[in-house]
Amino acid sequence: MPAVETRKTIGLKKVWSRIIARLDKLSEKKTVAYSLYFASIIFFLGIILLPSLLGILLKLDTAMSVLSDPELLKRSFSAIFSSVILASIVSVLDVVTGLPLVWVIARKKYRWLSIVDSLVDFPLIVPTVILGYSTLLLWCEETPFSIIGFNGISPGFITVLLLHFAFSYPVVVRILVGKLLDIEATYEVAARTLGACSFTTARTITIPMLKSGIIASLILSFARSLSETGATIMVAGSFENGPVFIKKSIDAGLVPPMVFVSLVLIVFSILILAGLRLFGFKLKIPFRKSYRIEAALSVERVTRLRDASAIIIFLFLVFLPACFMVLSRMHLMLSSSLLGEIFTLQGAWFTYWVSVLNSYVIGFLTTLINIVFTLPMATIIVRRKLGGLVSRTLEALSTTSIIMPSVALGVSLSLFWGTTGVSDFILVLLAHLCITYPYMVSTMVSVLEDIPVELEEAGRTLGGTPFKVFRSIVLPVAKYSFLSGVILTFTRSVNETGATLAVSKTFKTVSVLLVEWVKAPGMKVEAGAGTMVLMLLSIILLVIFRYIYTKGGGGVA
Amino acid sequence: MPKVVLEKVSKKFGRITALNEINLMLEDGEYSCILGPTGSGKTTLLKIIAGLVEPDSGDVYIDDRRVTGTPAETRNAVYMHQNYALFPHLTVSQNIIFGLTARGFSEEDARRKVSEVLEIVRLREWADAYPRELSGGMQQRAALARCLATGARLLLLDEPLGALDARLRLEVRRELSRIAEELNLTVVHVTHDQSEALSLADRLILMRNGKIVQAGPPEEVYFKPNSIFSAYFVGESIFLEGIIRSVNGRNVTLELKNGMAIEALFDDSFNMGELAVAAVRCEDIEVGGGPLTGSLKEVNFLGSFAKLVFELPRGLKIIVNIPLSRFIKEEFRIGASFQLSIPREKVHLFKPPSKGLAGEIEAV
Repeated sequence: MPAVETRKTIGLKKVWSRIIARLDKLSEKKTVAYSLYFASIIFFLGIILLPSLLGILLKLDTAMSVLSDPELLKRSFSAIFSSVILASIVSVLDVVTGLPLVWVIARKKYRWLSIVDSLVDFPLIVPTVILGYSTLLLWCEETPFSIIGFNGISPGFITVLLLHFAFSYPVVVRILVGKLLDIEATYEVAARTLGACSFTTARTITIPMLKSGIIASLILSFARSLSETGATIMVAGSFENGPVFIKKSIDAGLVPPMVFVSLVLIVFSILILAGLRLFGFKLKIPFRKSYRIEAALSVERVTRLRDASAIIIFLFLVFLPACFMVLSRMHLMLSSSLLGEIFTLQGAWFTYWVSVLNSYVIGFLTTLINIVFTLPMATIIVRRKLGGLVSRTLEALSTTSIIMPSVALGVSLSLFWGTTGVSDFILVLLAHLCITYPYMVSTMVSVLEDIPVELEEAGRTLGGTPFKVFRSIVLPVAKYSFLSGVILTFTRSVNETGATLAVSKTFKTVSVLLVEWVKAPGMKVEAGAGTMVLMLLSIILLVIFRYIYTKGGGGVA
Repeated sequence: MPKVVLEKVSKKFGRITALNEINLMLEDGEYSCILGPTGSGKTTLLKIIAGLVEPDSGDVYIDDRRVTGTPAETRNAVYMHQNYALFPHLTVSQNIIFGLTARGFSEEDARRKVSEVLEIVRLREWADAYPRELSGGMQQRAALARCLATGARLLLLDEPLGALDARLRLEVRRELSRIAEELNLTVVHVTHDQSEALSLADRLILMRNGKIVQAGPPEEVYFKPNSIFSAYFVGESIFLEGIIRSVNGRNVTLELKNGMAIEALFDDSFNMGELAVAAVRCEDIEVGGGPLTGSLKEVNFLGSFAKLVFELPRGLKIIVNIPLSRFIKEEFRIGASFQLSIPREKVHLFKPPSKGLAGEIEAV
């Protein structure tokens, strides 16, 4: 009965517009705005910051026992040292090898570049643990390069390095491509017409302008390398960095070493990150001189070689590990009746789909709650609503949990919330909120920073309430970065394993389940198929996101 | 009817004082121009009226209603930015509709209003264009249409002509004054261009360092500057330093540094032997028959008038603007000696500024 339906939709529309009008009215009140700011700070302190740290801090007294055990102390420090060295190498490698690819994507105009551009995002949708397993297969256990006489290496420092490079590289490239696209090519044209060769131009003009992006990339990949746990364990062999050591202590039921190493790592990372933020911007790249070698490096033959090696590095060290497990299992999957079983929910596949549902519900809630609470927070930070000092402090604090090893974070959370008897579902949700919060805040901050304040002011004096200005001006103008923040948060939540495992043994997200399958004997094919299905689902979701992004045109809501 | 009153309004940004106890009253239907150098507090003043910036102390009244602390959207005062702040993701008509739906117009009324204001600013054919597709002048008009459509009768314009080229500026200037007149708007227009302010304003407000230096009809500010800064910033003046030598009845004599003397109207605030600065408009100085003698150093032809630079003994420089009708090229040979006179009623005497004349003018 279409008539009823139309009446229904009209009714719904009315209710909707009434809700909007009500929110508009509410947003006019300053008390409402300040309550929102207040609530977002309470959320940050009470749900994100304190539980992540307090769980560990409460056990601080036990950590001192490590100091009296020289053997344990030595192992702890060697793990911390390995972590810092590894993270430093990874972040520098990311930027050095990433920049040429960034240049190719942002500045060259080949048609096939759009393919490379989308391939860069691909590793992001592979659960990190699966990437770890895939790395293990590719470089150690089932290496396809045996046909050229390479028989694989044994798990250790090199495999961990390869793994960390693979998962942080796409993020670095994504950040830097965005930043480089923001820098108009006119500066480079000006420098070239003034007589500088392309390499000198990049060194003296473009890279200094990219500095903030480079520092952000260094911080992000450093933090990611320092905190990753699940996948690292898979490829570590006898190599032991902070998170591996923490995981081993937890498995052995030893709380003190875990608290000790976590604390030292956190303090260490805060110092390093603060140093990068403070001194990174002051660092000057030599400007006055022009070196003869630069002209040689700018010759087309050399730049082509550079571009080609950038693409080869990406394909072999990042893209191939991301899809190797699925590729290597492909023939087994196709030859069995697996595909039918997957979609008829037979056997283990029922559990699989439940875990997918779990992941998506958690991912959705995590994203939604984070949006609600990070927006006011980002407003405080960017628009300095509560003064400069509060802004800067909150900005620094809100990104702290990015450096916590995810296992340590999980343990801290379960120590903190464990006594309250909340359900595993809530615990997992809380863990995911903590892990994705820093990503969401920094996205929201950049969303607001990108909006010229004049647009908001114009909207207000034309009569728009803060809520109306937000939904019809800020959001549409910043749609792209807003959506990428949503995607980043969502995929990070779906792919998370370390903290999820630490807070709950019973509630299974799909990444946790896949880890179990990978470890279980005789489930290798299923693990591959499960990963492939998850990746396909992610691709479909990404396409839907992109569709929403390109569909919504203008219009005043 | 919009009448704007500011009472002892002050605002600081960190250590910088943007506004210092500003008192101001703008009448309904008045076109006021706030003129001043960069950093004088013009924009802050405008934003405080709009409600985009809150004053640290003092009060703002619009139509006798105290609006200090009320949100911008409730003040019925539209603010137009220098770069127009057109919403990039909306077409011209959608930009206009934004303010209308925000004020609760129905869709039909909004549409009618859109075509009405587009008619006023002559942008009818561009209703569906995006801001980036418009020229600078059109963007300016679209932004104006967006303001007008809201029905707000108080228009706050922040350097509205700053981004336009010289010819377009003249055109839009006329347009602005026509629209303001027709719709009986109260307009506050911030600018640093004195000719813009002089031609548009019913009332000119001259600001410096967060204070109002002089306010009044443009003619008054022009012909009766109340300070060296007023004389310097509005119009073109020369400044001569000297000592009051004699006071006789209605005249005083000012002896210049090079021994020459000029006369001014009696002013009881000066005593014999006191230092004074005389400000004279460059177009008020006459060439021929006077107490000053100098040689012609430079002749600049500037279209409707010519600028002559004379050098007097001891490095004194006098600039004279003469209308083209009196400018005979053969007569004004470089290096020739001329006599200059200044009608005493055109001389404005001021106390010497504490940081010296150069300091007072260069600090701008």
